Amino acid sequence: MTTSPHQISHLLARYSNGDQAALDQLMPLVYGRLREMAKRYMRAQSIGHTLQTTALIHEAYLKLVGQEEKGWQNRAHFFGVAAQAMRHILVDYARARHAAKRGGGAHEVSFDKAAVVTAERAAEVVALDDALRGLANLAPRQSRVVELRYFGGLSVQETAEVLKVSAETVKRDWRMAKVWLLRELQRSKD
Amino acid sequence: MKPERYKQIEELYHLVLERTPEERARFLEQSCGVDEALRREVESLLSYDEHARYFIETPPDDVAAAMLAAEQKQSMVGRTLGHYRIVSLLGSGGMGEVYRATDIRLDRTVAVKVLPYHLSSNPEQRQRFEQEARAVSSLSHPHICALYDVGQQDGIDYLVMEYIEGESLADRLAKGPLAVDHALRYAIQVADALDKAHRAQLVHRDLKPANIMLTKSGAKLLDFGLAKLRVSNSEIVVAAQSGLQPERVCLTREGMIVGTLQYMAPEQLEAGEVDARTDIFSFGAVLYEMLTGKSAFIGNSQASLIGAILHAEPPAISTIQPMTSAALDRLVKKCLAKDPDQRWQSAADVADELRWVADAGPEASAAAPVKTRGQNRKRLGWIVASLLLFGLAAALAFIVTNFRRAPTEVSATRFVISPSEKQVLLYPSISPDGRRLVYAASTEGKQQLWIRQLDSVTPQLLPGTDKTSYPPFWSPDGRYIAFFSDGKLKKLQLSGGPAQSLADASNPRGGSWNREGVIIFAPDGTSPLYRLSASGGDRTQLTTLDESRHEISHRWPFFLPDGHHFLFVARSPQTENTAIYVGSLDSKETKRVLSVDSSMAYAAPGYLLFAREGTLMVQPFDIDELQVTGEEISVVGQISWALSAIAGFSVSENGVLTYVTGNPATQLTWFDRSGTELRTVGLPAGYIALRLSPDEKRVVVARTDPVAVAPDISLIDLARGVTSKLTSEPSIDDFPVWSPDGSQIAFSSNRAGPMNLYRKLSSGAGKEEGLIKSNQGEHMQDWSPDGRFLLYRTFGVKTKSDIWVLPMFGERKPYPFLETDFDESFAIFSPDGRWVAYVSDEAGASEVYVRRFQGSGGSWRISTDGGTVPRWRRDGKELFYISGGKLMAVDVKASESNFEAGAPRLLFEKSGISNYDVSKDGQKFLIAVPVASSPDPITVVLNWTADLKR
Repeated sequence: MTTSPHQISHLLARYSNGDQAALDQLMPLVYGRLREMAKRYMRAQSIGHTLQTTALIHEAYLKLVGQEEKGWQNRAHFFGVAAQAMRHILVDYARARHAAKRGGGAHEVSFDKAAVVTAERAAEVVALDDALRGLANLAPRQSRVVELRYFGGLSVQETAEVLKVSAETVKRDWRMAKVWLLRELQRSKD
Repeated sequence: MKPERYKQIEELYHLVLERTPEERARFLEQSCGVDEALRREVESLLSYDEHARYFIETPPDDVAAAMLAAEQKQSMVGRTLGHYRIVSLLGSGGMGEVYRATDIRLDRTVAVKVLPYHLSSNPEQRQRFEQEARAVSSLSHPHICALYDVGQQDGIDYLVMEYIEGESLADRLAKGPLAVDHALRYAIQVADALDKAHRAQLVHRDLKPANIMLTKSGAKLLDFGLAKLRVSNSEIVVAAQSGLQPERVCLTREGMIVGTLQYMAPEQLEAGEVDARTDIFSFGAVLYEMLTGKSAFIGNSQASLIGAILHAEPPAISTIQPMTSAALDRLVKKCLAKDPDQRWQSAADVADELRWVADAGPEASAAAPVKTRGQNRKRLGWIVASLLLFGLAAALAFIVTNFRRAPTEVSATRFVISPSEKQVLLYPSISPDGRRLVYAASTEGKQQLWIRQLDSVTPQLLPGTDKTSYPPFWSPDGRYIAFFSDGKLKKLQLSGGPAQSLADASNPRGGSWNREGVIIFAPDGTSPLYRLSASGGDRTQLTTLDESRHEISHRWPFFLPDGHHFLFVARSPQTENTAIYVGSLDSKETKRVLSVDSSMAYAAPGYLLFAREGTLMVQPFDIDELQVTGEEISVVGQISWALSAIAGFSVSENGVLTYVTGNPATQLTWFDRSGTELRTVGLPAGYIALRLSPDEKRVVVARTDPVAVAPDISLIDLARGVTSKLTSEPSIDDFPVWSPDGSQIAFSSNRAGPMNLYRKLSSGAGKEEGLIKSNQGEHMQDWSPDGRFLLYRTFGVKTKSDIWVLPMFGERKPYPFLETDFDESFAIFSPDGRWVAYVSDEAGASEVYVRRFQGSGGSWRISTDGGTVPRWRRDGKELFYISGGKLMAVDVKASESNFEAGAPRLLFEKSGISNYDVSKDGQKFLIAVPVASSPDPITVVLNWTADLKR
């Protein structure tokens, strides 16, 4: 099934008006597109491209919503959804990877260097996700800022647009959240 | 913790950060009072503040990439192919993924190999493959992995094989060599397996450590006959050497050519007949590696690896493993004979011999007498190889010796000349007799010319060739080399003596020298060609830029063998008028030869060589009719290429071709005023233009990546180093500038033919807007600080390059700013918009000047000893420019009617810099610095036309 830019715009508009059901419809579309594009990036990797989350999300936006879309609010909402999608995709993978390593039962042999992500790296992403959940209880907006900046690769300005706050606020949130999360991660390691 | 408490901590944390470090303790104490816990909490966070600076600043792109790669493979798990249920992924490689699966009917574990789509899409190949598979499945041997079944479902081709538990020999070898007795045991098993297969008329073709599994019951040979499924061997070799088109490269990469090449026999590389003796060669290479832990053949590129396999002999095993016997040495050496007739003729013989060696133990010294016809010659090669520690030098000496003795040898032979240390080699120029090579290399910041006899190992520096630019060219008798350096055309006698200046050439674009001692050359990037006697005297204009075609430059002249006709490139902003022409010393007439923007060479007996889209091409050329005939054929992909249309190759009269692949990359790097490197930004690429955004958070660049010849415009986030493409048209997109508010980028692009002006939102959103459409061509220069004017460079017929103004309001009617008989470029507004700094060649060489943007008044010269790329400090009180690799600074003072400039000061010197920008405060410089870490070698091909006849 293909979805027209118009439909996506419509769903984004509904979501921005507080319709959570629209998000449920949007998420798989965004997932699918991100994944499809990312695969293409992977194939292209050997000819000089590297995967970049931020480029991926911007391109997904152009593909799904199109260049004609004028409303920056829809664009902001799209970025919000995409960052959330990226977080889910990545954390799920990292968790599986992490669990497999701990279980010690994986017979996977990979000759493909690009596909080897170290267990530590996966563990980091998982730990960050856990810490981020903790932060969400204390300062929900700060956890969103991290989700958008880190998992979504958005700039301060873009993050500010998504959250409808000033860039200054985003910077403040970012600085506090980073130091808080870093300390949490450090503590969980010790 | 409660959100309220967190809020309290956060607020205090931010307040503390506003204090100086010295004030913080006291401030905290005052603020917290008796709430000790609060103070500790904030102090603890503060201790992390410094460490958190780079924490999670970059998205987890590596995890995403790994995930997607894994996901693609995992997607097979749980599926059923035929009556095989896929259980888990075992491994993956170029020939596809291997899964552990259950045979539902027989309830046994099998291995299922899923073939990549492209390998099974050709029906003819498929049929051949199935035939082969049937034959393989009839093989039953304890040391051959059994093939049970071949199937196809939903477009997926798969093989079902015996499931083997164990370790591949490749993995085992990663840990080092095997004990001699183990190596012999496995080798005997593999030789037996090969013998069995060979008797059934089956050749493995791809014997390598990755295809040998070590199990409890011994070695097992995998993937018999699968190599046939690939593209034919000759295609592999050509692709491996040349790169050809990107698709082809991809295909061969997926085919894991690099790994395979290592064990390929010479006849496989030369696309000769493949038979059982081919496997024996590969077997020898594997056995060599089992015993020594080292590859039998090495090369730092595919071309040099091929050279090694074809011509070099590995050092004797006993020099690496003293415990091995002389008999074993000889056994392996005979497997590795270049000529199949000189090898063991059957795997059974090899197995017998191995058994004999194993029984005799290390004392075995005399096996069955080994006599080969070419023994003496081989012996010599062996000694040379050992003496020179088996380097490329050995291969080189050997090749050249052979070449001299047998110049009519039918096949082309390649080898590479690798740069020593951190050099970047450029502009190879082979002597007319094909025996000496002159090239430019940068060492310790100096770019100089080096000469090398092809049969010698050490290059020699040519004295007096400092600051050389663009390719040197030979006198036809090979006694002189002509080159460009320091704004002059010079000649140097190779037998000794100082370099002599012949003529001015401020910004040269190539030259050529004929038998009558006439030199033709392009002194400048916007000039016609000039002629000159090689013994000196005045230069005279030879060609005339054609006004009707808007020609702006004649460049890269090349004399044809008659010494009167010559080829050259005429460039015009109109793409359709940019082409190779042929001209003559005797008449003004020119004739169009080929529509391509590239330097070129003619080679006997009738070939025109040139580059198209980064690929070296050859097309038959009729020397009498002076026209191309026949089709263009690609010779080598990804040849080094510059926007000046110089392609990195040269060819001699007797069939020696030299070329450099890849393009020298640059790395964006921050420097302070003293030239100390601060940090790098983004990835290495060919950065050809860069401008910092007004808020200094981003930089807009024009850059070429390794695969794209035409540059595009990209934005780099300076804090995160993330690059995003703003344009991705196949056209040349260049000269980006920011609007003063940072919301837009204006640039030039030839997407509609000539280079015209466009603008686009810097967010990447929306479409590009064309600003000017003309046939003259425009290069964007700068956007005025009030946003109302654009400066651009355009090309008048009489007045060379000029600077024009495009108002961004009203009717937007352009008008000239600087329209003189001289060449003006690099115009940039002062921060207050009242002055413009620019470069002009009115005084001969390029120098930096300043004049008022509006109203009349004279110009002030800023640079004293050559200067280009001016930049202002944001307060308008200092100007910077580049002068021959030096970054210069000048204090300036502007008043209502006057402009004062101080003496230029050297800030620092960085070889090869031409693109940079400066921070507002004038303290930091973002410079595109040439990267010398991974230089490409120069490839030399002897008898290169042999490849064309194949």
